[in-house]
Formats: sequence, C-alpha cells, structure tokens
Amino acid sequence: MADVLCLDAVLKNLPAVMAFVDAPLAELQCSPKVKNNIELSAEEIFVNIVQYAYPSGEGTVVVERWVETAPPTLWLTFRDHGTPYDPLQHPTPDLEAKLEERPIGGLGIYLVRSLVDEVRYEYLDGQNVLTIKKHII
Amino acid sequence: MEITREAIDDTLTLRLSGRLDTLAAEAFDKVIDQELTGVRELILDCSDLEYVASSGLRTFLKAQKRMNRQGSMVLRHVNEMVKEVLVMTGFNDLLTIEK
Repeated sequence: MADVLCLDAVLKNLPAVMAFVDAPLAELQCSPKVKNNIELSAEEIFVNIVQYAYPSGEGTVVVERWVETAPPTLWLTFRDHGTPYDPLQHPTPDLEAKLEERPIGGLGIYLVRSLVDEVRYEYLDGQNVLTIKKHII
Repeated sequence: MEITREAIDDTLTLRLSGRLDTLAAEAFDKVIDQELTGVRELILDCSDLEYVASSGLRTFLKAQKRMNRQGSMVLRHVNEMVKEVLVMTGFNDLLTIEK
C-alpha cells in the first residue's frame, strides 16, 4: 500500500518532501549515490510544480510512495491539479551550448530523466500525474 | 546550507557547506548578486558541499558569467556526488573545476 503526503505547493515544504522520500531508504540499505539521485529527482519534480503548476499561486501536491522489495524498488508519484503540463515533452537542453547561450529551462526534468530508471506522465481526472521508479542498490 | 566568506584583497572565497537545494540557492543567488563588486578571483570551496539541485547549477552559471567579465572563478574540492551532477549536465565544460 502506498504512503501518501499531501501538502501546499510552496517551496518551504521542500524539506517535508525530502523527509517523506527518504523515510524508507535506510531500511532498504540504499547507497548514498542512489539516495542522492532519488532526492534530487524528487526535488526537481516538486519545485517544478511549485513554480509552474499554479499560476494563481495556490494549490496542493500529493506525493505517493511505495516500495517493492524484490528487487528493491522505490516508486514515487506526484499529483497536482494545476495547468496540464507534460514535462517529458520538454526538449532536452543543449548540453554543449556555450556559456552565454546556455538555456536555463529544462535542466531539472533532464536530471530527473537521467537519474531514475523510469519516468511516466499522465493527465488523469484533471490532474498531472508524474511517476518515477528507481531501483535501490 | 551555510556560506562562509573570506576576502583577501580582490580574492573572495565562498565556502559552501551542506545542501545547495532550491531553498539554499535563493540565498546563494543573493550573495552572488551582492558581494562580487571588485572581486577579480572567486573561489567556491565545495569541500563540504553534499548536494546540488538545478537551481544551484543556475547560480553557478550566473556567477561564472559575471566573473568572465571581471576576472575568474574556480570550484575546488568538489565531491563525487556533486561532480556527477555537473558532468551529467555538461556544466563541467562551462565551469573550472579543480581537483
């Protein structure tokens, strides 16, 4: 069964999201590197929602977390009721661009895609639903 | 995250300790906006930097652009975790990273 965290989509809730995401990792004997990858992915997704999902300023985020034990795998789902937006459609940033032309957008979702084993986006019942899967090693 | 400053002549060393997450990046961004006047050499000591998010990378980029106009910038003692993120995003080509 999934554990669920519901909170306002505001930046000051970032530490609460981190704590929620981290909670099962110690017991799974997660390596520091994988822990770092999971935290970074979760932060980028949460911050994207905070910054872009609710142009009017107010809204919530629901984070669901579940764990499979064989093989050890963490799943996280982020749901918001904001503007429909599929971050996976964002073009990959030009990673070879020179300093002055370096694009600022798209880095976060690029990191997420690089750091986890699977990313899925759906628009379901008026909600953006972004799911990531990461093998715990 | 904690940022400690040491200025000697026109060299400014900022020692970044802890997590450069999106919350910390706001504070780091302010330091970059406010404290680089007259600085010719900016040293970012990352010995105790454990984590960096994309918002922190943006501030590194901003600092590098500014220092390109007025001097130089170097990141020192970057740990493996932070280095992985810099390499993954190609930032290792944009920034000067010393061992």
